[in-house]
Amino acid sequence: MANSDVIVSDLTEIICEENVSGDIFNRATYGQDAFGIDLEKSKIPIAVVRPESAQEVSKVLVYANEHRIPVYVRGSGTAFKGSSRPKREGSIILSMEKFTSFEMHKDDMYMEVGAGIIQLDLEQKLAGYGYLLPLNVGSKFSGTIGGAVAVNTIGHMVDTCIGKTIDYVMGIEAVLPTGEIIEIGTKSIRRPAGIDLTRFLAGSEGIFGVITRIRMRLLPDQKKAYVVGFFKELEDIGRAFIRIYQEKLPPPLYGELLSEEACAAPFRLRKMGKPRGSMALATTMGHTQDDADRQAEEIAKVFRTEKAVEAYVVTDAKEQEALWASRDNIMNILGVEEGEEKLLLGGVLECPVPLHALPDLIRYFRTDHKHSILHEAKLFVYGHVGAADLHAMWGVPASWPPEKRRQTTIEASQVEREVYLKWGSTSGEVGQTALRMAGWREMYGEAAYAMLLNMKRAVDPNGILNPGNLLEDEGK
Amino acid sequence: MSQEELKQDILDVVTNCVKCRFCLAVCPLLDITKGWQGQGASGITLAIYTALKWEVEREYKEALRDLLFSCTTCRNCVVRCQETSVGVDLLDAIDKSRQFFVEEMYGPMPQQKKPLEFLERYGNPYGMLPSERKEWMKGLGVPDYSEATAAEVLLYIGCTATHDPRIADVARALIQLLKAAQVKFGILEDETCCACPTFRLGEQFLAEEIVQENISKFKSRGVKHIVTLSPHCFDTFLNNYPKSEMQGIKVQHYSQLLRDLIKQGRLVLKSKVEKKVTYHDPCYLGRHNDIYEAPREVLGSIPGIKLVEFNRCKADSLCCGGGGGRMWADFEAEEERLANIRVREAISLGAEVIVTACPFCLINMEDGVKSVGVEDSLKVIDIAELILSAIEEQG
Amino acid sequence: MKIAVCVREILDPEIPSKAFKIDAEAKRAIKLPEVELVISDYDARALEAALRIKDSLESEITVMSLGAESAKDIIRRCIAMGADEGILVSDPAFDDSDSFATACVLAEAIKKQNNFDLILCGIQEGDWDSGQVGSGVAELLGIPSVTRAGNIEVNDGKVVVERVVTDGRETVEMLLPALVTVSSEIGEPRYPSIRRVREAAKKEIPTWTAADIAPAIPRSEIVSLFIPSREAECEFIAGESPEEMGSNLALKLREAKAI
Repeated sequence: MANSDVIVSDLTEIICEENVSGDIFNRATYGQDAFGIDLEKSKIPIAVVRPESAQEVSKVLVYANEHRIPVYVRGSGTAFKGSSRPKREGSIILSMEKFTSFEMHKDDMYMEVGAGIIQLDLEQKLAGYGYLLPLNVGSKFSGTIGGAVAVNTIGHMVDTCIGKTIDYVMGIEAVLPTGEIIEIGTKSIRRPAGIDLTRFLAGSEGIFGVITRIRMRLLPDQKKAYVVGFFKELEDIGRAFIRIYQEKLPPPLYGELLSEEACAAPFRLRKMGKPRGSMALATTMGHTQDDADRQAEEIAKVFRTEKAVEAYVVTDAKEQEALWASRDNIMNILGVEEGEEKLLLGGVLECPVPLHALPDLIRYFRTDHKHSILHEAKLFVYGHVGAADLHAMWGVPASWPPEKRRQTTIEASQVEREVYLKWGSTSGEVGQTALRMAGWREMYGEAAYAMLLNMKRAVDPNGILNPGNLLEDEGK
Repeated sequence: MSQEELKQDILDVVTNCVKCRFCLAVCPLLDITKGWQGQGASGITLAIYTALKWEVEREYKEALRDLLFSCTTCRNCVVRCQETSVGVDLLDAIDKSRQFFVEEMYGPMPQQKKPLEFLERYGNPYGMLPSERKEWMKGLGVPDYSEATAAEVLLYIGCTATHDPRIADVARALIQLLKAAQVKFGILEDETCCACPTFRLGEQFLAEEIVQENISKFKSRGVKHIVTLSPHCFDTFLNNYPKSEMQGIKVQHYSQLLRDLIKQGRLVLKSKVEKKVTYHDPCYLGRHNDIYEAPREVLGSIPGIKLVEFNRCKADSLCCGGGGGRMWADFEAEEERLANIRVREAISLGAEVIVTACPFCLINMEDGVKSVGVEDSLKVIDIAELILSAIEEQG
Repeated sequence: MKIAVCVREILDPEIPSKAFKIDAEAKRAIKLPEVELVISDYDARALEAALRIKDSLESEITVMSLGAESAKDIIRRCIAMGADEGILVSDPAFDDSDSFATACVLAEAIKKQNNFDLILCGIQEGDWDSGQVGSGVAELLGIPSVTRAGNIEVNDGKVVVERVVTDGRETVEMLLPALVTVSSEIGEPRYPSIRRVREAAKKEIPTWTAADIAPAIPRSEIVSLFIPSREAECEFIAGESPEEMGSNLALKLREAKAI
């Protein structure tokens, strides 16, 4: 293996000094992701590169293939499954942060964007034109559009209302693991029938190539209306959303749930008083305000039918902002009162389930699972109940030894896996690779896993692009 | 705190960082360096954390020092983390890291030693001899603060006004305003530094010595109400001085006093100032102390004025780059100055004036105007000066 | 490894020029009460050079100063920075020593300790700037010396000095014991926190007097000490055009015999 100084100097020739860093602390910070656990010293990457074009990405990958150096691609490292952290020693981090181009093609109803644009920036740009970014991810303050496309996540939004990110992808420019640049897709809003390689790259979690630019259909912004409901029983919120579907109401853009415990700290932070129960929020969309309002009324009615102690259409903009912020800034829920012991993030999971099982899932989180340490921690249930996808977060007291805290993280992912297996579902937001891969393999079986590995080997024969995320070496 | 305690504290604070990187988008350093994520916000705290955990802080002391002392302490990362993430107090980690480094003799930046040495020797970071310090006040007829003069307000001028002629102008304008409003005020004849640079640079021991000296002065002279020229003195008195010992002393920034005086009708603004101005929120009034409205109310009462807002204003204001001890240091990794960016923002707004409320912002913005070369179209004026022109009869 | 660092206390060179006054009778600079005494900068750098050696090699640093009782403060500051101990040499008999006398006294003090491997001094003192004491001490002790060090490394009983010369650097190796004078290129002296300074203030510093070290006779005598007066006059050259102003200026310069 080549000496790290040589590698840094080679990369500087390939790209340019400005965009290559061998600085120890830069490497340590880029080598870590939002998964939480510190990266082991031995896995700190050798270099971080910030290419500015597909050609530069290609050159880096060609070099990496030549010298068998693993490359880990990174948007902002907020995938929460450990996919962007190095699994091999002596790697290169390829950061997409310089891919921030933005081209609007209003007449043809699409935009072309660099993979590295921060989602919030893109959202604000589009809002200026009257378009809605068809995704709203909790980490949008740093998450990139490339990441969202690679994972095919829309975050809080409800799939049955507007579809998933991949539905908007019309074209992709990408660099294959061996360095070839491909540009595929169409410029028509009628997407290809049959084989469309964009479908092999979008949602591929960086396995089959590095996405550098994306052509995405524009979604006109619509009028919105907002509903809030407070429920004594959390499970009733699950029942309310089941009813929304059963009554064939149009699914809302957002259907969110926040347990009473999870409301406490955010409400306190925003001086909103004590929560009047567990909270359900919904945002409806319509072409006219009237349309949106009527849908909202209907949902409020459903809430009341399912025993909401209070449910109404929110008309005060400030109230809506505060309610939404309580749900949106989810890390606030760990906040504690003055004098109380600080809570740290122990474990978090994300579980879609078949609609009927929403109340069962809530019960599973709270009482039915058998993980003792989780039962000692503080549970917060929240999430996209409208998309039939719930989160559970366990906060642990700061005084717990690190080993016990680690155990919480492990148990949380075990619960997640149990839920998928029990109810036949899989991750709807976070993705399937890295820390999720073992569960995926268990769920879908060896034939499916072998197919995945074969596909990977076919495009990445030297195994240099994000190696380790498919757990290729395990069980050898 | 002992070095071990500091180290543990720093690790405890940063361990909660979930590396979500939400803070990076708001860190001003990333606008003026090459923008590597390791150069700002959580990049800085993670670097310190990593170094302490691996026990390599000595090996990399210079690189760490350069990173650590480059932080402007604008607090935007803390606000962002509080609102959207887990609420790590990055500034607390940075403050403590600076203390740790200074005690280990790895810091501060070489250029920052002199202001600290001067503070110890002469009671101000500019090396002015005590006799020199009073020069700027000659002929203004401002009484020395003491109960005997029946002064109600201690006007705390701060070191920069006594040293920099441009800031002395601001101080003189403020004094004229206070006289016009018939405020019974005085200035300490033996005023020395509030200790802000020592706190920001991690020189905790000297900070505490200066604080004790000042508290004795305040107590022995019956000080009940301090009004500062600089938001830095304001913040230091309010947040760094022991609250128990400052009980009974009201601390205000002069923009708050001016607002009160205007409301009470003690200052009557009758001359028009027909200018398009934009107000630059200083970090130490704004994000550090949530004071956004008082200066705006003051400006708003000027007849004929047209106030336009920066895109990045109030809690989102772009730091001028002067906080955290940076008035005394330059950083190799930086390729641009924040003030230049701010000046260009003001130009694109069509503003004729950038209004400041802080000596450091004023100095930096004026430098920015010269660097960008727009002296003919953009002026930098302090609130006090603007109010004064609204009071004076048009000649 | 035993290192001696010679330091001198001087009037703060950062004070404004109008605070710098001379007592023409006593032929001395006047110390105004509000002006502080500080360590000469090159001497601080010499100490820094010693501390860097101590950072990587087990060493003991002794700071020595010829001066007034007040010089104990700067010796203590050196201890705050990491020196191990200090010695003040002070006596009315040593007052107004010139460079030669100073070198004699310091050389005697060093001989009295008699165990130093390396002696470091600044290239010149921050007030008089004569630059003779370091080399003088070495000559009197009969040890080799190298001046203007930009870098110093010690290994195996030798010291390797990178000298700063006008067109670059010169590397010189000497056997120990030896003396090196240190230039500013060595780098910034570390900043001792005030906590360290206050802690070091408690340290006892022994004073050696004329009873311990016989004084030397200064070889030079100050005839007069004064601040040269500088009178400046500014005249704006008149003229209708730049060309006219130019030729008027040329005429004035010719009149003043400048050209």
